[in-house]
Amino acid sequence: MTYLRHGAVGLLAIAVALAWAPGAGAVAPPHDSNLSYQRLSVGGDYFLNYDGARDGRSATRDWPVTMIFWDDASVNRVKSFYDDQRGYNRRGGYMYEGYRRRVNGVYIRPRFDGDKGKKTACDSAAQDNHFRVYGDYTDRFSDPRYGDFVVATTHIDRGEGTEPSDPCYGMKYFGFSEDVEDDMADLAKSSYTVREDHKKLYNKESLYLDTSGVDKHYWFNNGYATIVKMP
Amino acid sequence: MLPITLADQQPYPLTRLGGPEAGFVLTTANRRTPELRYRVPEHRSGDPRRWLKVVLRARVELAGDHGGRGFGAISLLTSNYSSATAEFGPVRDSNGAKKVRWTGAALHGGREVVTARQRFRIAFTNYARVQGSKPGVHTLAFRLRIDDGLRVRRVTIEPGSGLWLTRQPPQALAVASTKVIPSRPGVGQPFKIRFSIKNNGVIDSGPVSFDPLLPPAFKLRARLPQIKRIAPGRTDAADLDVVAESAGSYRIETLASSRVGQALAIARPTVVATSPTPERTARTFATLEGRNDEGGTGPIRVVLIGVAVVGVLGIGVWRRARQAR
Repeated sequence: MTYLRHGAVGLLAIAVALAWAPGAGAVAPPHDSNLSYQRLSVGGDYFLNYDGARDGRSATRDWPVTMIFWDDASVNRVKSFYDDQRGYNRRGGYMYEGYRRRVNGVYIRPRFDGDKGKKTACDSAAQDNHFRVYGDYTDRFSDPRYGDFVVATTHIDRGEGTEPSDPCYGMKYFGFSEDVEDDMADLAKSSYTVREDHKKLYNKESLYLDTSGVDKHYWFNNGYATIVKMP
Repeated sequence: MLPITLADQQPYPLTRLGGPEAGFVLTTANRRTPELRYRVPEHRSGDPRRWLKVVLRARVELAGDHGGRGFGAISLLTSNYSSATAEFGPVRDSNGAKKVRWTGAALHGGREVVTARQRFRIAFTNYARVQGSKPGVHTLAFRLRIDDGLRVRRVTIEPGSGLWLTRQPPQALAVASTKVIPSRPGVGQPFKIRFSIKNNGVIDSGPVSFDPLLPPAFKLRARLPQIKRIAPGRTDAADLDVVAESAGSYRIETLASSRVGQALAIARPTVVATSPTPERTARTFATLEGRNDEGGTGPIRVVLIGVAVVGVLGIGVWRRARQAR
């Protein structure tokens, strides 16, 4: 009898402990911000405040937009600036930014710009800085106050190597968008006018570890994009 | 020369602004034209509103051996702010053949052209930057930019380039209203979100398409709506047919796009539970690890607690049955 009573209490205790363990029942990461359309000024083109899969769904978002290059910017100009000399000598994988697409005067679906982006070599901590930069089908957006502009998402990739001899080999995780935004802003200061954390894009993510996907994502962004004037 | 005052709703090509009859020529050695001046008059109350557009017409001639790399750009500058930029550079098509692609970004539009020619013509219009269209005297100039080693022989800015006053606003669409029908739909009950869009411009909108950002709990029941056309000054509506799989208050953004501009409509439907369902409690953990834990009773937890309770009850019943024997 005592054995049975202990067994019952033990079963109940294990079930309750499992039920209240952190992460149990977690399905999707609870983001601080919603996926939403943003523009830089009245009358300007709209863009999404996160990139992601080619479906514009909140659940498949990838990283927040953290940088805006404006005045006379284009995807080519930004990639040309962050070149081999500045350490950005590798390519990443495709993600997509939502926008509208026009063919023969009519807006049609899909409305996404894909980009592999550029990334640095892995450092001693097996991580690199990765950015993707997006415009519409003309390789930039247009705004009456900010001119031709493009938007960029930033993040760290860590542990993408598959062999121990690979400098990128290590524990795998991704994220920390805000930190890469700071690094890229510092590089731009040598050539352009930079205003850090200037434009609110409603994509704040306070630091947290998201384990809902295959890989660990550390979300971290203050919700304000750094703007770089490229005259 | 005194600045030309832009008074009429008509084109102001280079020649009217004091530019040369043959246009300007830009080369690698001469990358910027002299400045022409124009005056935007004060807007008088009662007058119809007007907007300033820029017209870029140019002929580009790449060097025979342009290197197959790099890119260049021609910019039309109003008060030293780029109002229209055409970027061009070598590309390869899907068969690997060498081509040249040029693009021009404009508000709710732009141009993209791929050509096999080394000499090609660029033509597109855009609205002038705010900084160059306020009342007062401004400058107009053109600039050639070359990056990453592209070799350009010559760029000719055609005399047809210049300015143009128009009554068509840069973004002519506006959201008149959004309505949820019925006002408080239930879970699993189909409902409509009606978007009324007004065309504030002076030209026909053409087709207006809708791009909603739907929360994960929402599903579309039909194809995305489209309005065939909205005449100037008129309003028309389109319905988004959706169904929600869980109760709550939602925010749904929908971008309406047409050739005359874009408008962002926001609807806030409240979906009520059709049968009593347990409410999920608010997130209580905000730590680094804890953001995945919503602090409520998730499906796995319900199953585990259920197993425990059934187990304890089962043991009790078994004990009583045994004692009764």
